[in-house]
Amino acid sequence: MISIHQLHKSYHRGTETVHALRGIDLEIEKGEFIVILGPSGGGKSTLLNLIGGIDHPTSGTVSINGFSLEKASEESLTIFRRDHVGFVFQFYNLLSALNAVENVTLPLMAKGTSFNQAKIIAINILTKVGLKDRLNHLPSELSGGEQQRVAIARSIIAEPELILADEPTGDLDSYNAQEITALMHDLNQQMGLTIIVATHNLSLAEKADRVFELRDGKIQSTANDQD
Amino acid sequence: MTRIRDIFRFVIKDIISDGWRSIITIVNLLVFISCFFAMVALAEAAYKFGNQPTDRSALLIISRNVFDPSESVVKEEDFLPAQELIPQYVKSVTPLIFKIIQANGNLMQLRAARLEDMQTVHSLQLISGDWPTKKNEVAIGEGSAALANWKIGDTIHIYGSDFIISGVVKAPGTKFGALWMNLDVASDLFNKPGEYQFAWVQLQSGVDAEAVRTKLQNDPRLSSRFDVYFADNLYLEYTKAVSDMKGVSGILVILALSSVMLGTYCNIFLILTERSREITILRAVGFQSSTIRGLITLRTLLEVSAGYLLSWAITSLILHWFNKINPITLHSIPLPVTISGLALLFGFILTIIFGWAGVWIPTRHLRNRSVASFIHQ
Repeated sequence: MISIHQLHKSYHRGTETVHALRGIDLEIEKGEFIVILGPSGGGKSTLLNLIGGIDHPTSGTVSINGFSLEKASEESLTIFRRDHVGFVFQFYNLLSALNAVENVTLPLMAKGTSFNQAKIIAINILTKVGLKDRLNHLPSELSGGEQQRVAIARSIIAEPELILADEPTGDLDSYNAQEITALMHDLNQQMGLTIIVATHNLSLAEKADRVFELRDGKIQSTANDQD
Repeated sequence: MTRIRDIFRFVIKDIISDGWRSIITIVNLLVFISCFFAMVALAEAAYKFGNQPTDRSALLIISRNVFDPSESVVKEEDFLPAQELIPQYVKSVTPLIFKIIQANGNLMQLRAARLEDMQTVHSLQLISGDWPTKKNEVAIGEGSAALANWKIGDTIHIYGSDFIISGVVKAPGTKFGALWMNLDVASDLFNKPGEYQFAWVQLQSGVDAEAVRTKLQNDPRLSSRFDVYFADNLYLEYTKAVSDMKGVSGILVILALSSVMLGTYCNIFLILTERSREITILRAVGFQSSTIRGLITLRTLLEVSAGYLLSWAITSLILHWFNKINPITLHSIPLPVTISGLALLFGFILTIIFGWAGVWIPTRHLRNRSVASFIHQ
């Protein structure tokens, strides 16, 4: 499903050139639950951004279901994200002006679905993630765990094949982190979604099919669920 | 339709949630747009004043090179060239005394004509009361009545004498705001018998008015000392500078409205900087940059429209109040300063264009900006 070859990414910070990724090679199959571990600044977020078409690589290729991201225009990447990828961020990234249901409807509205139709689907998904009683609450009225559930609901509403989660439990207490971990695992098991999580959370790694450690822009070690 | 409704819903929700920014933007625009309305109202008033409809059924003979028509001196013998054209071209030649006076503290036109000429020559219509038949009576134009808040029976102090208002008359053109007095009474009052400001030449119907005017203007008895104008056209000459204000105001009007572009540009620039997080989220979940530009444009145009309508309401109220407490008069003619429907429409179209340009300039690169560039921002 995902094929990455000799992926390099460097950027400038002042006069300094930072090599965030130094030649990543990776193959990920459909339905896999992948966890990327590693220290901060190791290149985890950069790798997720490149797989999600949020950023362009300096060199190398990223191909998802045969679609090459590295040469695609911004507009094609937007359509690609809309149709194939769901994002979950560390700090939830919900729109503060919109309530939980409205936030979840966004990916469907980007596809052209009417709000009323999207709302029905959003309520259904929010109910599934345990937020039936929090539908009309603004992000500021929700706890961190609840906001992350809303973000997960938003990431799956448009039925993507791939979920990219960047430190999804990084801002949560251990109880909520456990809940979110379980929820993501369920999504992988029940819906067959391919999930790639960049995290420090080892309990997420325990649920993964494969775990990579990314350090200094390179994959240092690989483990699978048999290990 | 549903999509349009959803977009409006989204944008209005955003405007409300970002209330302070929206209010500041609208107030900022309000200042510029109010300047536009004030200037356009003044320009229109000046233009209207300098472009009174020309009465081609009558000519005026007036002294050459006088700025104030009340300084003109025309005597009985100066009527002769026009009288010689009776009855083929000219119906009548009648005298008119014209003065700018202070009446009870108001600067007014005083016009004095023979009583019988008031209706037949000067087209006055009595609205209420009576014609000024007595020596201590005057009639007032409806403009004067409104301007000075006078009514029938009130006493007006003119040139050291008291006069009673006998009636209110309706008069066309620049006569709108005048006081009307019997010619003999005015001659006595100003103590200059046989001396007038205008010779009023009423033309026969169907004659070539311009040919008659040229003939009189070229008459050697008039050509060196007098000018011959169509009635009311006189003011076009005297107030050319005033009507030229329209041209100058036009530039100021465009400048005031182009400030809308500057205002929206700054606002959008701030939005793109301050709200890069929201833009990143929308782009990440699959909104096209064109959709985001559309949302920003719609939000701005709604704010611009709100600013425009508020400015119109506020400026109209201020102008109404200003017209009431301190009306502008020029050559003693009241100059009502109002905002016309055409100016309202024209200004709205220009405001929308400038508002749109103010969004387009800072967002034009949005199409090619990667989501990562917003994240790094």
